[in-house]
Amino acid sequence: MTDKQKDDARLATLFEAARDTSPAPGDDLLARVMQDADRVQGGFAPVTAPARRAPVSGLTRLSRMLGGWPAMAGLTAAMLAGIWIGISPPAGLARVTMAALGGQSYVIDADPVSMFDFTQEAL
Amino acid sequence: MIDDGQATDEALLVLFANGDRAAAGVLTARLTPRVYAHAFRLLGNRADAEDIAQEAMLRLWRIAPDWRQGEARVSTWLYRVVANLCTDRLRRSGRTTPLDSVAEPEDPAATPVQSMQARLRAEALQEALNQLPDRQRQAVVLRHIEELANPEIAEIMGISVEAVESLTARGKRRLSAALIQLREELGYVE
Repeated sequence: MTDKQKDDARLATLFEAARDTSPAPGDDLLARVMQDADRVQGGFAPVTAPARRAPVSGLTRLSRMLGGWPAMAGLTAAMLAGIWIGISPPAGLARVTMAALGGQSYVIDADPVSMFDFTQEAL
Repeated sequence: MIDDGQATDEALLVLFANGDRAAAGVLTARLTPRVYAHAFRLLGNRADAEDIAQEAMLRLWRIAPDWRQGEARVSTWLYRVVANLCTDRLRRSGRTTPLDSVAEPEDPAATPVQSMQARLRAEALQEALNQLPDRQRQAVVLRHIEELANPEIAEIMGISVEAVESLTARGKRRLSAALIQLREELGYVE
């Protein structure tokens, strides 16, 4: 056995002795480490599952898209007014229309039963 | 319920980050002894080693929520933290590290004479380790006492595998030279 091999063998026994007599931490140190763990863990944000959204109907989605209930109320009022004017046009509307269109206008009448369009020249 | 023999350090760290206190207990029991022993071997001082071990574990707890899985082993990361903390401590203290006594052997089958001899050898080795330059000491401890592979040591120390081999070879030569006077005392008969 060469000198280097002898040195390596001696060192190997020393390393083995160091492993066998490994210094162990005291209970105080382990307790302090656990206290740190508790303290740090207490500062973490709680892990929560994302809240589930209630199912949204198509009408609600459309309402949100248009601006919510105030916009829908205005839209409904305008629609009702349009229907009312269509059923019972106020007197003088034809004159106003003619004036707005520069003397000539067309009344477009859609027959709701036959869906046939009658177009006639108005006064 | 955590199976502390099966769960990896990384899995336990993720559990800890998610609020599992039992995971902290398993990691403390598993890693603190290694961290403390390593710090003791680098510093040769029990009180300093306790401070370093506590600080290293504290850093582990803090990094848990941001731990990037699959990038580094927890033990490798811890060894690196311990090494950096020990280097800072030695620089600040000007390397005045009295050698504390090494723990009693834990092998119940050993006779009192064998136990005493093992303890003497461990103390002599620690004393010789304390005389090595910091990087040589760290490389020798990681390779021959912690029994890590050279690539992992290279990762811990931030150097190449060739540099690790060079450091451990030079460290061992110095240790042999330092211990040559103690051969008889340590039970080495020519």
